[in-house]
Amino acid sequence: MKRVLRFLIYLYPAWWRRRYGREMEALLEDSGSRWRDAWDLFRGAMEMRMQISRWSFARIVIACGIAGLVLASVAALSMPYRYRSTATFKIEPVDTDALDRVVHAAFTPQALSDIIRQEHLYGEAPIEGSIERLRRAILIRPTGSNLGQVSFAYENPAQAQRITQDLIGRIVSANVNPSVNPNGMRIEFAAPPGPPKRQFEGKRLSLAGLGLPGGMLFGVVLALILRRRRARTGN
Amino acid sequence: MSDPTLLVLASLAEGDKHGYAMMEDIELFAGVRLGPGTLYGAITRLEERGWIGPVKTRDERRQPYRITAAGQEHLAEQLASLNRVVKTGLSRLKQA
Repeated sequence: MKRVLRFLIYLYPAWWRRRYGREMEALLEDSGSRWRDAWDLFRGAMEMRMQISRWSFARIVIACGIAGLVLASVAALSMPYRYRSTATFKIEPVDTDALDRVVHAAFTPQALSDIIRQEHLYGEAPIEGSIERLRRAILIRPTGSNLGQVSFAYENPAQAQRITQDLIGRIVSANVNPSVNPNGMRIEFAAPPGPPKRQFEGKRLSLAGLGLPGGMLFGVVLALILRRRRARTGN
Repeated sequence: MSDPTLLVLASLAEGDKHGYAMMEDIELFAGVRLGPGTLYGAITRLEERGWIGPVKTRDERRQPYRITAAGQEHLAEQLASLNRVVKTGLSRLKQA
């Protein structure tokens, strides 16, 4: 038992053992050995080790940097993944102005609001913000001389595919409206929405990458505060 | 009263003591046996704050400590505060 208690003194930080180690040994000799003292010594050692005010400047900065990296990585990993479903369309003849008008007519705020309500997108967020998020998640881009792609990204892959299909339907409907497309541009969908693919999200990596410098910066500030306090108290 | 720092200060208010003597004294007057980790945790904090200090001695393994003037002031403040709580509590118990 005495050996266990003596061993537990080694769990204390070196600065503490240098100052109080021999006194603690004498106390343990005088007071006798009890099992509950083992837990008390262990707890005391951990408390002393957690006294960050005694850490060196570099140790505080490194520890905060590592803590920042771990926290940011956990936050980055817990961000939901997004899946993008893409459909390919063909335009004859190519008229980018007409395509812009068709897209504008297809994706009115009312139309996007309907999609959000039907699919219960973006939780309880205000509708204006949700419409903006939906707009940002829709991508329409040319992929060839008369080919283009419409795609939509969302956390739920099945919904991403279903909404892409819905967007196609709205584009086709707007295109057959003579007031929107007076020149008779034809839009045909060459490929239906494919299986959604998980997106590579740079912001996930950026968030994890920011953890280390962010944590270290916090560590520098903390170390400076502690140094000032130490200088003031003389400890 | 179970704050180990206050118990140590109260013990040293009577006179200089080393660790084991404090442990015995506290058990006697407060009925609380402080474990060695708790006792030396309190001693470390009190010495850091300048409320107690070591007394020169030949036996460095049984280092006695002495309460400082700042420590006496702090103890007096804490005890006065406790006293107010005790008085208020007792008077309210009588009224109830």
